[in-house]
Amino acid sequence: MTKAADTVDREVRFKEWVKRYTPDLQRFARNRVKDLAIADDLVQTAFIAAWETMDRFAGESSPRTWLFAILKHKLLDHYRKAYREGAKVSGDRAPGDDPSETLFTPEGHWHSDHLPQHDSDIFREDDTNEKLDRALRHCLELLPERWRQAIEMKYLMEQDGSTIQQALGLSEANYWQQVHRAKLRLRDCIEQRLIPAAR
Amino acid sequence: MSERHLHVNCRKATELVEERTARKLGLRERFGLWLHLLICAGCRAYERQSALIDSWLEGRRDHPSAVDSAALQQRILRDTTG
Repeated sequence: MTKAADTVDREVRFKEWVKRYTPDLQRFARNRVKDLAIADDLVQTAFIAAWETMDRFAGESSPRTWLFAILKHKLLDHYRKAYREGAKVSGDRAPGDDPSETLFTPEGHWHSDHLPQHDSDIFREDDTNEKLDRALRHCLELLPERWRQAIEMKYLMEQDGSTIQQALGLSEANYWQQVHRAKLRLRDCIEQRLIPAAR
Repeated sequence: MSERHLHVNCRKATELVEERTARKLGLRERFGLWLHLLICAGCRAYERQSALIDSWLEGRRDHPSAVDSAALQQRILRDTTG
């Protein structure tokens, strides 16, 4: 094949990929990044990287798998940056960061006004529970930025602990402390929001 | 085994509930947590609610949504083949 024909072939193949895989990649990114415009930008960046390195794509995996791998890489990069920004804004130890100080007594027991309510069913497992859904969204937004990024990496990117620890430069103990604190605060926030009158 | 090692308070129990999702707890931790959950309704509620929050957070991954990709596709082609 001549060089010119090669280039044409490459272009045709790439255009086919863009046409075929953009919607799936876009949906994937939009489910994982809050800002839809940023999600779309990440898909675009991924495609640009694919275009530039296309010659190295040996076809061992499907193009779809390959494109998704590139996009995941871009997403992790995005989380890492957002985490660093978050850490910069609030510092590594912002005051009032540790919810265990307000939730637990010095002996480590629940403070009575933060004790998880075990006799109410506001936390029931029900997909149609719009109030719970709204509360969760709201409370997630209230978390310190870097906790939110760590949590989203864990759940949205399905990354295991060690990958996240490495990406964010956290020790294992430090990482679990953040997850624990984030979950404590999330849960408490949701409950306080769902039953404000009960207390 | 001293009593101190077995003692799990609410703060520790909630921590173990989180860590349990990622690593196998040691025998003492498991026993201490089990014992604590047996006597503490608040932490049992925490355990349940924490799992519910987890599944909600995971559920967002597969949120089906209609996307209009035409504009994005155009942008991509403009920056690559275009």
